[in-house]
Amino acid sequence: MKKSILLIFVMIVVWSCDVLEVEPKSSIEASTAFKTKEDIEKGILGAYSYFPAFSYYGRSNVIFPDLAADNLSHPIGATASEYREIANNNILPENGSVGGMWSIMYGGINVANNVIDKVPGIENMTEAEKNAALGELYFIRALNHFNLLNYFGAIPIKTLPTVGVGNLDAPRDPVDQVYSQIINDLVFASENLSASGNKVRTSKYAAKALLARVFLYKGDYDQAVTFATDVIDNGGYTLLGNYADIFAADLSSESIFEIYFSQTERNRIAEYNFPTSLNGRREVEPSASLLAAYETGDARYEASIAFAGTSAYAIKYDDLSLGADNVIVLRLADMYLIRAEAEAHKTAPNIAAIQSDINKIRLRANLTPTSETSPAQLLRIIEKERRIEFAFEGHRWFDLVRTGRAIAVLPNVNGVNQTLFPIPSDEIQTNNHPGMTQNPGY
Amino acid sequence: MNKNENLYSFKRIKSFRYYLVHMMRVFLLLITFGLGSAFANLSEAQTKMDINVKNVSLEELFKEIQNKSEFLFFYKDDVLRHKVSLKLKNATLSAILDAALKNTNLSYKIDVRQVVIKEDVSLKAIGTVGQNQEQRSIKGTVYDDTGTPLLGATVQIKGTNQGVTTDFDGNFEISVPDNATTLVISYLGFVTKEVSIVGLSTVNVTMVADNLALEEIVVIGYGTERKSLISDAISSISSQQIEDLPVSSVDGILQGQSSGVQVMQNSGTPGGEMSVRIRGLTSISGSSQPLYIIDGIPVTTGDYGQLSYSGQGSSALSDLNPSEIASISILKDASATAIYGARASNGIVLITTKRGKAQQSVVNVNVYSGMQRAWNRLDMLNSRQWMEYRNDLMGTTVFTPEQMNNITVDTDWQDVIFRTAPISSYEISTTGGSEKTKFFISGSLFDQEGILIGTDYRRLNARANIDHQLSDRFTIGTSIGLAYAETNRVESDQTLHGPLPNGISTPAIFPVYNEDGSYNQSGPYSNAVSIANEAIAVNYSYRTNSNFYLDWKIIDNLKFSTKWGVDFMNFREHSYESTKTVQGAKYNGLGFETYSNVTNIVSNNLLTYNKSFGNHKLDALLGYSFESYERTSSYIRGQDFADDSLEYLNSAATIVSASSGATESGLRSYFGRLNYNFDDKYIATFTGRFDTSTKFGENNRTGFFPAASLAWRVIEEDFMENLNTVSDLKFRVSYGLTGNDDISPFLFSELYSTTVYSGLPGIYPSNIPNPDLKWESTAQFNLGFNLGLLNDRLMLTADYYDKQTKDLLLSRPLPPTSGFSSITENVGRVENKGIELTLETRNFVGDFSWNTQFNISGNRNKVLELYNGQPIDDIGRGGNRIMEGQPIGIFYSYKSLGVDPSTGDIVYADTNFDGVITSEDRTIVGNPHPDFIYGLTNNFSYKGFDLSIFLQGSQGNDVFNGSRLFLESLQGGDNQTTAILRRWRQPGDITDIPRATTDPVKAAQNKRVSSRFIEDGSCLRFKNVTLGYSLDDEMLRKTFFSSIRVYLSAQNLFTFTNYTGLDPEVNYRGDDNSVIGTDFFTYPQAQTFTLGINLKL
Repeated sequence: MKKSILLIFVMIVVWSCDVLEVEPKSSIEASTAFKTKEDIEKGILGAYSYFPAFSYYGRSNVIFPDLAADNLSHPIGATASEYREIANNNILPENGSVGGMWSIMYGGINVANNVIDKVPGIENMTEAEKNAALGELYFIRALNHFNLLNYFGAIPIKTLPTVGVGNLDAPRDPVDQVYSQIINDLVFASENLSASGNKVRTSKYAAKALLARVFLYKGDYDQAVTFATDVIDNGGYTLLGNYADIFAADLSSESIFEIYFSQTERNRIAEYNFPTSLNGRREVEPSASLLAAYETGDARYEASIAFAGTSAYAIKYDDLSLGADNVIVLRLADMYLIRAEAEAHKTAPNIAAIQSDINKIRLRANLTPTSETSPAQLLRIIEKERRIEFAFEGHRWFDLVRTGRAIAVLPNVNGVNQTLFPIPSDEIQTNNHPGMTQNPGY
Repeated sequence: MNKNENLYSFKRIKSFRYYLVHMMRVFLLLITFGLGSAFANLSEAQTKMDINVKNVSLEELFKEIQNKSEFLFFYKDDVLRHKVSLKLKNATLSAILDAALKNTNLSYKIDVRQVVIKEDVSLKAIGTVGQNQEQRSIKGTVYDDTGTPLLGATVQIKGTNQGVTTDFDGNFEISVPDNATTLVISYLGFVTKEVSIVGLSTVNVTMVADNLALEEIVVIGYGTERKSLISDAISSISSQQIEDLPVSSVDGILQGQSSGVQVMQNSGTPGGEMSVRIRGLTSISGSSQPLYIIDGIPVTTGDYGQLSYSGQGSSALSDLNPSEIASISILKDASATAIYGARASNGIVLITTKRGKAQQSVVNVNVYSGMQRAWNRLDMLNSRQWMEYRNDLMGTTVFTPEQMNNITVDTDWQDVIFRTAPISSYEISTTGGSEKTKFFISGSLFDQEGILIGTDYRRLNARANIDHQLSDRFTIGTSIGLAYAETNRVESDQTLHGPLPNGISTPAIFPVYNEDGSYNQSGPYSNAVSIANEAIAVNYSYRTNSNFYLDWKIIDNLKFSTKWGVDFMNFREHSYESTKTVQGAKYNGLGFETYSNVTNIVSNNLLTYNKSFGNHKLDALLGYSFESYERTSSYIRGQDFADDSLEYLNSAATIVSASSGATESGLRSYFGRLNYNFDDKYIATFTGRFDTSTKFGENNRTGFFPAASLAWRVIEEDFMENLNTVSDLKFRVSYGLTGNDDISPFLFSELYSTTVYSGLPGIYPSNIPNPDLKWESTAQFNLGFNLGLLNDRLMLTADYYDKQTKDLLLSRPLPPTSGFSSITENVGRVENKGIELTLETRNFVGDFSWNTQFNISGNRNKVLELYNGQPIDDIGRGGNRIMEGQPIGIFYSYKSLGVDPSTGDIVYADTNFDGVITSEDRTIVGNPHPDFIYGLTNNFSYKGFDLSIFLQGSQGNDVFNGSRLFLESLQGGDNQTTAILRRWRQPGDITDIPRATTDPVKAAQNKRVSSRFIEDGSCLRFKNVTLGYSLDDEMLRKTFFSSIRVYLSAQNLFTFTNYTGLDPEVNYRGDDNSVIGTDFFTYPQAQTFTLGINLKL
């Protein structure tokens, strides 16, 4: 008996020693996370991994710009009230889908900043490799800032990683400063990234293409023309002959930058677009005004819209079952229309060049070329071409807002206050900086 | 009406009569089984036999007796030298032994079946004297104080060990030497009595109950204590209180049984989880569930499901079978709980399972069977009303008068989704043992169909509890509990894929089936029946909760005890949705397979010492304990199935997600308790525990949790002696610190988690480090008294408590611009104050007895401090909010002022008078916490009948009726309740229901989350009414049972409430601290009728 008692004591002592020796099993301690070039690579992918979220390019950010404008509407029988608020341009600051976009965009920025912070200390990287890594991270940061700017107006610029919980209150920075930050980041990226890329990650010309769009939005038309031209001439991209092919397969030659989706990292765009009879949720449907906007014979109609009975639904991203189709952020057609629009805003526009760019798009869609010569009228034509060409790709709202046309075009938008989404209440309530103010009207 | 289609579905529902017949069959079977079996009569002492032996050894005689009866003999070898010759006819064992041992120095003792033969010095003296003396026989009967004969009472001749036990009718017959003058009669629980037999041949003895011996022993942390000596706030529930309740889980039986314990059955899902709150909510982000401890080993509780059944969480606690429970102690104040240190803030529920006794083996059979149904239905629009409403809504003729006059389909979807469902439980257990080895063994089957189609729950339990005395100093034992449970679930709350929301929301114009027999999917949501029938969602739980112990009595007052336990659970979910469901069709068949393995290994090592010096008594306990917890899980999702009939993932063409993971944590603790008792008058208890947990940050790894309590038993004071009406008076006071450590491991650490982009692995910062992270600490003050009047016919227990919780483990929201949504920090304070009263009375004793137990408690919860005073806003569907100065989860939304008679739209209060309704106008519109909760049990018995009526209720709590957001939305495709028939139609209408309009802005505003949907959730339930009948002895004699009781029981017989939803006692978010009192198409509770039988062999 004495022996077994002794044995029990030994057991107690041995066992108790290691109950407190516990390691995390599914995460890495910060101290060991970034040591090598390969770790930085994983960090960059971590920053990219925010883009496919449902609240970002996986759904919301693709649908909302068409829904808030006049390309998509919210069917009577649909259930998501957050979508109804957006369709009605009557968004509450508590809108969780809008809050989700805000959070995920800043989440991506923080991860990028976190890795940016680590790059200089990595020993087995050359200066060029470090700059290329930084370029990619700057691009990610810039795209997030740019998306935020377009939805919400003045926003806090974040260039440092969040470490600890001190100083998290941040003011909104003026729109000009946000633009400067975005442009600086993109210029660095365009100078340090290589021209080749696999399109689901950024490249020199993806950075330049985004710069062209940023300059157009900012109203810096000369620069917009310059960068768009650079991409068109030197990027190596080609317009596909058949419009429908752009969405038929991933990584087409027209695509400049797209977000990767696969069966394991799926998007839910088709699920929200497809009618219930085809097992979708039908939270959105193409609006009557969009259906009416297509000219007869426009090849883009059948490539963009299908019908189940009498219900129309968008089919650019139509992989309902797997959600594995990549979402295009930048493609060559955008560059032509950016260049045309920027050119039309110049004091002495080159009308022929504008017509030529527009007609590249129209001719591909099997439409007659335009011979309009008035810059003002050309801008209207470009507006309409952009509406049709990029329908359901997340452009329409920004196009109408940046050109000041939203109030005139959209029936539910009655004042300039509605052209900015409300700052999500999560931010307003937790960010105590006096400079964190709500947009007017909310 | 499309009758054929609907009849088809009704065929699936079996009639009430079917279940009645089914139940009767079970009963007949059991009764015949009992009557036909030959079981030994309990009262062996009464066995008579013939003996005819000549000059045999005693051993041979004993063998002869053993062959003819159930008796077992225990003796030392040296007694066998005696030779005897006997010839007796139809003699009792005592008569035989009296004769056989007459001329020896041996005595015997009969203990039910065991006969112990001993050499007896005192008998030797009597024997030598008695050799010349005549023996005479004394007969008699032993009764208890109510006049009931006592079976098995021991009757001894004073000064000897010679004795007999009474038989079934309390009769005894003993042969005594002529000079014997006194018999000693003893019986457990009664005062031992001496009776003079001088000149008597017959004696009738009435025994008086011994209050001290009968006094309840209450299980406390790492020990037991006599109830009267307890200085802490502890409620105890005995197995009698909970037997017969057709309730499958341990948490369910706590409801209404004890003051200060609020049990919310979040939904009626069979096997689903409940929220148990002991003295209020102390935590916001951590768990508020108490720590459950079974036979000294902490139990793994919570929901380990990986598939979302929002609000229909599974519960690891439901694996335990309530009928294995011997007692439950609920430890409430700090002095009682502090010995569990960092996990004690939410209170402790100590459960002990039944163990064997040194007695003849008893077999218990308990069976009940019955039916359940939904006690309430919503009044929904029928087809015609729906058509009229749609015409009004759309402002056009959607349905023509002709269509409205020729309605072919008018489906009552609630008839389709709800059903009358059977419930049954079968349990057999046996208990018994000798002085050395004792056992309790039981096996049971619980089988319940849900009242909602597609749901059921089945559980098998087995238990073996064995104790064995190795020697005078060593005892070993084990408790082995095994469980297997299988739950069929359907999604419900909060989803578009559940039969309950879909069924209720589908208008009556849609049939269940199409003409061709396929499911009609043209309603606004997928067909409820298709989900219930075609979607497989089963989870399986395989569980053992077992331990092994060794007790070592080192010296008389010092004991060492070590106990090793394991709680192992394997939880597996299997799910498949075929293409016949909308969800399945989307993915070409969608299947899931998940596993979770949870292992908690515990070692408790205790040293106990007790000593008395005159009036001073000292009990000391020192303990050392450690636990190692590990959880591993895996998850696979696949789609594109080859065929609808193949439900496993080997048939899925695409695996869209597969993952596995693990977490570990450890806890090491030292604890102690010192209990000092002066003359049973003044009692002081000091408790302390050091807990070192891997969940806490490196700066705060170890916490210390001390507590102390004092009790003054005024009743023992001299000046109380003359106050005969007062039979007990005790004042108690306690104060102490406890903790709550319920957070995920490694929240203190800066971590990078893994992710994937473009098919390649990536990492991202997932956690803001917080090296200071520690437990929540609760300081609790308790003041209470116990008062007994009229010989404890009336007993009152009252307690006041004040719990102050600080360093809340708060998942504090961060500005999303930081890239993080929240951080877990020790910030904030919460207070709970309350009063608890328990009144127990024995109104009538005797033939007709009537006992009452009433408990009532009120808790006031208040958030005192949050990070920077920031409220945590807009949680859940009902707009729950956490803000300073208010209870946790107050309803905060727009205040509806009703319908504007001129426009038909809801008018909201402009609380800040700025002329517009914005989110700034939200205000406090309701409180989900009850003013008080109560339970009232009345037990009556007369002759063989017993009746128990158990009422339980909650008063003053608000419920957000979220279902009305859709069912009174006056927009969209959802069916509506008949409340909308009184909607606003034209200017001047005064009503509470707004107009039906297609104006998207107005329609959205009218259905805002607001006070419009907040209702009084107070309710009073006849929770259980049980009427039983026990057969009397006369009838039992004709059977082989020692006891037979049949009973009829009704659960939720009546519910009184003004709440308009299906059930007021719900919460769609399950066990959530902040989202409370919110109904959103929540599975309602069932009304259950059962017929049961208890048999003892």
